[in-house]
Amino acid sequence: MTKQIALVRNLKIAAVTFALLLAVVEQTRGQTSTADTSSSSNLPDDPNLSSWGIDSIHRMTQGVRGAASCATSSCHGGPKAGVSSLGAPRGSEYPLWLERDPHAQSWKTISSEASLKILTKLGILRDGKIAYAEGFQNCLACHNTDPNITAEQLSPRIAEGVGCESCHGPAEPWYDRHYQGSASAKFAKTNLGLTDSGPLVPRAKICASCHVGSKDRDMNHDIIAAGHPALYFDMAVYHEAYPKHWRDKDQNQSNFRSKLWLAGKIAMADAELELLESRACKSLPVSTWPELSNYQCNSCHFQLGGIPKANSQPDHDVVTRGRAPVRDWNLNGFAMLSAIPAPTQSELVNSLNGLRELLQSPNPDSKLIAAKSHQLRIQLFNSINENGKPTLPAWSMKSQTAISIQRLDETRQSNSWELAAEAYTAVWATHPNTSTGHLALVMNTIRNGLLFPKDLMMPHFPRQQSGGTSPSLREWNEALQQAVVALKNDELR
Amino acid sequence: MTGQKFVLPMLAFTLGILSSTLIAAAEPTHSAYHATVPTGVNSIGVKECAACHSAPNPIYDALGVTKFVRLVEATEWRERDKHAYAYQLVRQDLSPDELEKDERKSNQLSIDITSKLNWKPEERKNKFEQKCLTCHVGMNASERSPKVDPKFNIQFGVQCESCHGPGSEYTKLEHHQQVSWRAKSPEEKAELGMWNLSSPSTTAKICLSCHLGNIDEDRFVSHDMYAAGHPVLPPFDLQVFLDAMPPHWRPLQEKPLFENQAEYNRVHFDIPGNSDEIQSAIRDSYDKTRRSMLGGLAANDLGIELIHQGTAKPSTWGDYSNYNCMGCHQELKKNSTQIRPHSRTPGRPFPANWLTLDYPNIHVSSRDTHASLTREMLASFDSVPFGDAQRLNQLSVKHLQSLADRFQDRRKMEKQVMSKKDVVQWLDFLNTSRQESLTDFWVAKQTAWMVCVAIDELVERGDLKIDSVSPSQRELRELLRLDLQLLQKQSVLSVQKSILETAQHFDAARCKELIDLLVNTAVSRR
Repeated sequence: MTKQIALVRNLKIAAVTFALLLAVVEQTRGQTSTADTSSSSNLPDDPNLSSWGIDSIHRMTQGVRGAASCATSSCHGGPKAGVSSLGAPRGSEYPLWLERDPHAQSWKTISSEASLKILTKLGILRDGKIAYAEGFQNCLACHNTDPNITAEQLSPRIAEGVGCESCHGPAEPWYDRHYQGSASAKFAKTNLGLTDSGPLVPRAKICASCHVGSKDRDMNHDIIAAGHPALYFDMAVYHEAYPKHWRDKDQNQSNFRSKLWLAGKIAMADAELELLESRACKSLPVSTWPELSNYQCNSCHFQLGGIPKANSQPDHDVVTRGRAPVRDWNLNGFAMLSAIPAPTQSELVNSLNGLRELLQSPNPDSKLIAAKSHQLRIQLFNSINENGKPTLPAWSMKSQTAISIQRLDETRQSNSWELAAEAYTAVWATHPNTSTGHLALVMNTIRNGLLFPKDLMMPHFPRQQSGGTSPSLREWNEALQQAVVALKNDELR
Repeated sequence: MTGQKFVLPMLAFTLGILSSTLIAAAEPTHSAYHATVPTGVNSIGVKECAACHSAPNPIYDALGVTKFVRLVEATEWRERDKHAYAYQLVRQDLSPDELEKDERKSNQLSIDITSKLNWKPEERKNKFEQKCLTCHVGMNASERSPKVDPKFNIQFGVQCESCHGPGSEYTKLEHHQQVSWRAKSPEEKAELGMWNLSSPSTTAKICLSCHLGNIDEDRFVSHDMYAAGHPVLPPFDLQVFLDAMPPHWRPLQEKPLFENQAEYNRVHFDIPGNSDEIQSAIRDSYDKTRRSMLGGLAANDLGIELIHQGTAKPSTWGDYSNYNCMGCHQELKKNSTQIRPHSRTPGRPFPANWLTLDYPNIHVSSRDTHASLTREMLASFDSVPFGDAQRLNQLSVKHLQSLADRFQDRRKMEKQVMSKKDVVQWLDFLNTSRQESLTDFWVAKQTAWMVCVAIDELVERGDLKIDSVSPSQRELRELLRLDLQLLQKQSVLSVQKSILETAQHFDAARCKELIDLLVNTAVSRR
């Protein structure tokens, strides 16, 4: 019972902290296509990267059956209340998705008033008709299971949104064969393209391919400027809030959330690099170069007129003053993973720094950036490759927590919301008991400092003077210092 | 911009057209302004000029030249003109004590800016000269003063020759000290190095090479410099800027007639009638509005020229200073996407808007060409983030070609006077052609300046009652902070801050209303 209350509280914290992030959930779907050769993307596939275990979704050519075809009461559509053993299929996946999963609302979102405005501003919709098919395809790639949908159907009740096959793969090749006998599902996973969403790294990559992007899903600066919320994905936070239609064997273990967080960091970096390579190659018609969403929002988006050094601009070094620092949200997570051995990690960080420098140069060379991104993806994959499968390396919860707290401490002197928010999430995910007692209060203080102000679509962080929920720079530093001391003390206990 | 860059496209253009008027018209924009440095001519420094131009002198009175010049120019300039302080404001060799005492904090700002620009110690001096002193002294612009005489002292900031042209030739006894010099044509004077400041276009070109920028002359405030703290350049209006300077000149209308007056008028104007009629037409010309209009058109040309210079090497194009500041520098409010005009692709930086000015009375086909080229340029800015450099370069060449053609028109305009009817027509034209771009603070400010100059002149001439316009004008002045910030004992940064805050929160709809109201008042009193 206490556990349940704690969980509910966790959920609340997660939900409030990332209110904006969560708003994004309902607009996206998890689906992937690392080896998708048939979409409009013309980026070549790399055999070195084909082993993510989720390369089976050929969303453009493979037939989609639709969520309703899974909903037979004897399959995934029944209540099946009796099935309770961990790891056993619940049998009630479909109704659970339909009633509680925000992904099921995705079609409602894309045909909403606000969304129609965005589509119009982007020139995708004109006079009620789709005027820019590739642009619309790019939207559907995340907002609907079946991307082959025509303009006339853009009404609230037509399509299913992000349904079963968005994450599990189009069902045509395996539909008839995945339920015939106990080994058939496994066979379908290995040979027929049913996605194996069990292992956490590939699972996170499925989510990230929409919630970050992929080579055929580019939610870019144009779209954000037209009104789409910017994406701030975090695997552990999202997973916590998600109404799950499955059970994980280890879901009750104390380090499960940490595992998700860790898998998420790897998958986010990989997805971001995949997207970056695709953008630099301009492999999608909607992509642009230079792509402004590769940079931190508030490096440009701040009010002029502040005395230099005292505005909400991130504090970057003199070399990049006047240029935009790279958005690190998805990219540098692996730099804080205790699981990656030190020499490998510093190689990764070096490569990332090189890439970052290229991106921050005045006229970023797209070809070089594409090549470097690709190289870094392979490097990252090799660092977690076990028998050709991306696998969470062995790691210690204790040292990971220590690193996370250290990171949080370091953000005290920095003006970067991204670093601070990332460190906060890391502590929340890797520290075993931040949700109760004194630590919960401490985390609450930090969280308040990170919240976006009421009318803004971006952080205003930290302010010179406190206003609304934003603490002043001094208040933020003090709160953070106290929080770090409290967290460290708890570590020692 | 040298003439050479244009030889080929110009040749192709003229051959293609084969029309005698257009062949005459097709010349490089820059040289058309007659503000280039002839070979072998140098700057000699303000001290040489000050020898005569400091105080009235009975000898010169007797010779008759003081009728035209006041001979207090150097004194006026030294004591009151902001340009004389241009170097002092940025010099970096003050003692800590002097830095502390300086209330404007401009020298400290200068030190901060250059240190943030992160120049290597060994290149500091050169870079300071090349990036800062080109404007703050007006020195070393390759085109304007290739060889600087040792007597030319940077301490004196932007001095006589920075605007009047290098003086090593025309200061010789047989030239500008003679009464006969006055009747010489601007072209003859330019050959000896003296630029024609009775021409608003030439004057504006000279001002704008610093006040807007000129990459070829090493005068360009880059985004790195802004980000390091350089104050933002205001938009430009020739008449407003001249009004803000302590006049060391005598307006044409106040200059006495002289024996060669008829010849002078013939060289400088193209007005029908006998010499008395011509003389009175010149006297009655609405010259402030004329200067404002021709200055605005020059700013328009030079804005395109700046794009041409910036895109010459496509790989280096895209300095953020080419774009509207507020396009990016705004906090992302929940409703901020509703403010942007719908015609543009969301998320693409848009150019600092100098491209939209045209003028009444121009031939329809020329106006259409201008409008369609402007549209194409804007479309190219919109096609990819920061604009397609190659395409912009092609378009700017085309644009400059058509402007060279139009420059003939401009010259004709310069040789004509402006009547009350012309002023009202200009106001009406401004109001209708700029409606859409008034959401941009800088365009709004430039437009409001032009409107106010014309309205003020109508009031001055008794064509409008001051009561009918002054409340709206006062409001407009405040809304856009139209008054220039002159030498104030106030920190540069705090002045900047309040200007930028005004820019960020200005009420575009109200600005539109006020301009509309003012123009309609003028039009209905016609």
